[in-house]
Amino acid sequence: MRLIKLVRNDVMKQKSGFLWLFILVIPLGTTAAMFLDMYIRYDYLFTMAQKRGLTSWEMLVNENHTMLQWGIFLPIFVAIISAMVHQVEFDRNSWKSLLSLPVTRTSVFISKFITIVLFSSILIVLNAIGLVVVGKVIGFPEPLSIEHYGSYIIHQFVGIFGVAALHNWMSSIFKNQAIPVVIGFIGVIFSSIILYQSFEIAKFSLYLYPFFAGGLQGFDSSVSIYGGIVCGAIITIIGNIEFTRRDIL
Amino acid sequence: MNQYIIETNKLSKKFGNFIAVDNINLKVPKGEIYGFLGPNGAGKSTTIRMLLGLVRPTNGNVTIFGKPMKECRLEILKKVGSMVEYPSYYGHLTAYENLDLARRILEVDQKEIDRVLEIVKLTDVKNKAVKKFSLGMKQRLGIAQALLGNPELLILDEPTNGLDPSGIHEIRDLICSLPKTQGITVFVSSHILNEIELIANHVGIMKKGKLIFQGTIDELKGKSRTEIRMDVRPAEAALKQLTTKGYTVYQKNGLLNIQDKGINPAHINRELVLNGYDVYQISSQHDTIEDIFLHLTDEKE
Repeated sequence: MRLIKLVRNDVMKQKSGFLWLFILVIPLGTTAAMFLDMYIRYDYLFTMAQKRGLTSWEMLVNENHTMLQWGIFLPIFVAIISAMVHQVEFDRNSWKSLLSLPVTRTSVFISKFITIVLFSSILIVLNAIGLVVVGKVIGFPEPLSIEHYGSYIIHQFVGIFGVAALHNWMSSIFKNQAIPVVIGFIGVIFSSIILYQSFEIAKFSLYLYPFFAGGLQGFDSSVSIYGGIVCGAIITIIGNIEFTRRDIL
Repeated sequence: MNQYIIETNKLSKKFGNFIAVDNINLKVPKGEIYGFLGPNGAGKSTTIRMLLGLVRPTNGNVTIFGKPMKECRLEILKKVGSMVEYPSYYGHLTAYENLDLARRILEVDQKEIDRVLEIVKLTDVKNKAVKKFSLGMKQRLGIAQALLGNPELLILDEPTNGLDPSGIHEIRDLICSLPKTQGITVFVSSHILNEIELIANHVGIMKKGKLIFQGTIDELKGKSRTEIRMDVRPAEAALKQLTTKGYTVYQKNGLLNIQDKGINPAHINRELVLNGYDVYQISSQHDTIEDIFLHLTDEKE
């Protein structure tokens, strides 16, 4: 499969790059923060959780997702990953030599999307593993619910499709990768303002699908699945039409 | 069928209102080195990008190996190696890793990497990060990548741009050896005539988006103009005399110049002497290929 080769190449291009450091350091930070949170406030938080009928593990996900704002910031991390995946092609204008090889533009475009999702997934999985480690170290009384954590990971994984698609397209356009990252940042800020105004409007913002993946009370987490798939597909299709017709100068 | 490796038919490209390439019909014969000349901004790079499918023509079409580019892009590009302007590379990767990326897409054997590194003499530094390479080495790496998988056609855009004289010499020798040793057709662009003159046997000259000349180097030389320059006294009277005889004469630095085609200096000389003028000096000057090039590209439309 040529697509697999392209993805392998895209991953190779990040060898000894900043991207690997990024996706390792971020989860390390979240794990440390969650550990401190649980270490200092566990008794208080657990009492509160019990009143709402939550287990320690569920409470930990909630803390990670809303107190630490992981669900809000994840799209920005995806935007940064996308910027780094595309930066290598702009550095030495490698687009022209890459696209002069016998590859279709579509496969190049899709490969970049898959690479962004791949690196983002590593980030998501490492964050979740960090939570499990925190729970085990603190010594939660309940057994770990693999199902709950698996669903948390999958909802985030699908929830980022929309952001990954949008940023894959934007990053392929701008030579200066700061632009799409700033757009992503603004998108996230605006979306979180809307979030506290109206869920009905908020569910149309692709920057919020990773947030809805948290399975929080009052938010329908299936929105992250539908939204991620629909936005991911539509934006990738439209972006690809533009990308295949673009003049590479 | 035709024996042209590259053929374009009324190829044009507009950017907004600006016509970058205007109705050009390239014909690049098999196994030759075709020099693509023109001043900067004449549309060479845009043309090359259209040959590689990077830029969509506004009009006209490209045929490579007798196949239409639009429909058979992948099939064609499998057999085309290219380097457009300065080489592109991933700086933090080694020379070997850079070539490996392209090799995987081209689906050729890993041994190919060693072969092309050998051709451009980069074998010793293959495990060094490319960002530490000199410009000449990067350029050679670019050519190595273009040679991966034994292409039948090599398209090089300004391959000696920014190189020092010894680097230029090396690249030139390399390009010259390709058609002989590997049977490759080479399409090479440059804005420097001398360089093309040394390596190419066919040339195409671009000016303001138009292909103003296409043919062999010898045909280009055939466009050479002859000029007869003489020191005749009294000059004013001689000028009048020659003008009335129908020659186009002008005076420059005290010398008379005639630029008509097919005139015989001996004829002129005899005519002047028989009419009582003193001829101190008479010479016939031919355009160098550089003059022809400048003459062609400077000409008013």
